[in-house]
Amino acid sequence: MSPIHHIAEDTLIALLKKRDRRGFNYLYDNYAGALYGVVIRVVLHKNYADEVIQNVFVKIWNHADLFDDKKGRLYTWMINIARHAAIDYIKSKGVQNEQKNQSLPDGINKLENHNFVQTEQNEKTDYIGLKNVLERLKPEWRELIEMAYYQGYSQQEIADNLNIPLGTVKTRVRSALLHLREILNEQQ
Amino acid sequence: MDIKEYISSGIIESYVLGLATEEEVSILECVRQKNPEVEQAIRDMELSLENLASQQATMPSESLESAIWDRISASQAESPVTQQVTDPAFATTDPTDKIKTIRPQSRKLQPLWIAASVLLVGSLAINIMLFKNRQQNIADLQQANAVNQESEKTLAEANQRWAMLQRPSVKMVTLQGVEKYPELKALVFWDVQTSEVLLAAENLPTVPSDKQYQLWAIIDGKPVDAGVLPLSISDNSLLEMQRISGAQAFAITLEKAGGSTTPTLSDMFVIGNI
Repeated sequence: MSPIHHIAEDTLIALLKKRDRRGFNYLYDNYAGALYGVVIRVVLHKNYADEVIQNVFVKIWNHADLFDDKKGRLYTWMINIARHAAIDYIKSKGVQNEQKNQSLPDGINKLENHNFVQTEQNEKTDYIGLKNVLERLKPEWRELIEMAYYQGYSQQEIADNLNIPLGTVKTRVRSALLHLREILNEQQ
Repeated sequence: MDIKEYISSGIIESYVLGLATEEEVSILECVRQKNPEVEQAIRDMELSLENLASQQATMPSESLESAIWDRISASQAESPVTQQVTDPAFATTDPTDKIKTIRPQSRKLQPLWIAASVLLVGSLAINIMLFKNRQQNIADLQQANAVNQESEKTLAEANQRWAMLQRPSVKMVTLQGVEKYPELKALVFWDVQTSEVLLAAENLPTVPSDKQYQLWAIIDGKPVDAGVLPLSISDNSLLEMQRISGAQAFAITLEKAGGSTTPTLSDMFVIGNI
């Protein structure tokens, strides 16, 4: 489900800032799918995603007055909140797990072992079966976007992990995103 | 800074993915304000990621909507400021029970209510009328201001032309239409000391969009580019052309848009010797 703009974005922002319940209803109806889609691609498990998406909406609701439409778009702002909340959640789970010295469910310990390909193939994750536009990218580009966008790696970490120079990371990320844009435009 | 190079370095992609370092971010935030090309590139990339999110949307289970609203209500109860602004009319916890279910408590309309309603409607009507009058006044004022600015501009241009003509070092060169266009005329005001060249060319015929007029100075028998004329020339405007020294004549030809390095003499419109 993609956001359908029945009401103007500034009307939605005004409703959110006034904490009008209609703002929440509209927000949920139009953006929950997109935000949940981002979250589950980061946390990879439905149980985790359900928890994170609640935090995401509470954050959007409580921080609506910090949103400045001169600095960016509302949708982008919400996507970034969702992505960061999910990445933070996974990182805190990872830390907790290290303390407890237990093994995490498959698909969650990406941040520890950087084993992306194996995780992708893991049949147990709820992630499998989701529509993945990134699959249409070259594998090395997809891996890059997965790491950068969904797993919260820094450029330096990507460079170290993939054993490529930092400058190459930047130019490859650019090529990957430009190609992704073409794919997305084709599908519209 | 070479903007094209900056954009193709991958900085914008790093930025929208949240990968850029703090230093890179502060530079980019500065550049984007001054450079529409960079701003556009950022927006485009953000739109792509929004598009990605939309195309990969996954609906959460239905029970979540009310669970989330409960969480939001609970978080609001903790903060007194937010409690104030929450309209109790919307504080219902059932998500399906949206605003359409809000109805007046009493169906009996009492006379006082009717009177109040009539007064309210009357007051609204008067307000709307006053508001419309005010809008009209504002529009009139804006129009008057625009006319005023236009006259001031015309006056300034006339003064500029006059001041230029007063200078003893300025020569006025009349460019007459060639055989094909006897009715055409243009004036070049050329300051032989400062080399400034101003051009008044008002009645040149309009040309297709891929063509543009170009002024030439003839110096020692050779044509030298003195600049192209803007695509549309407003009346009475004095065009500032390139500085020229040692000219013996000026001429205007029609060239491809953007101008040429040598004049197309077959498309000459006006020429004048000094």
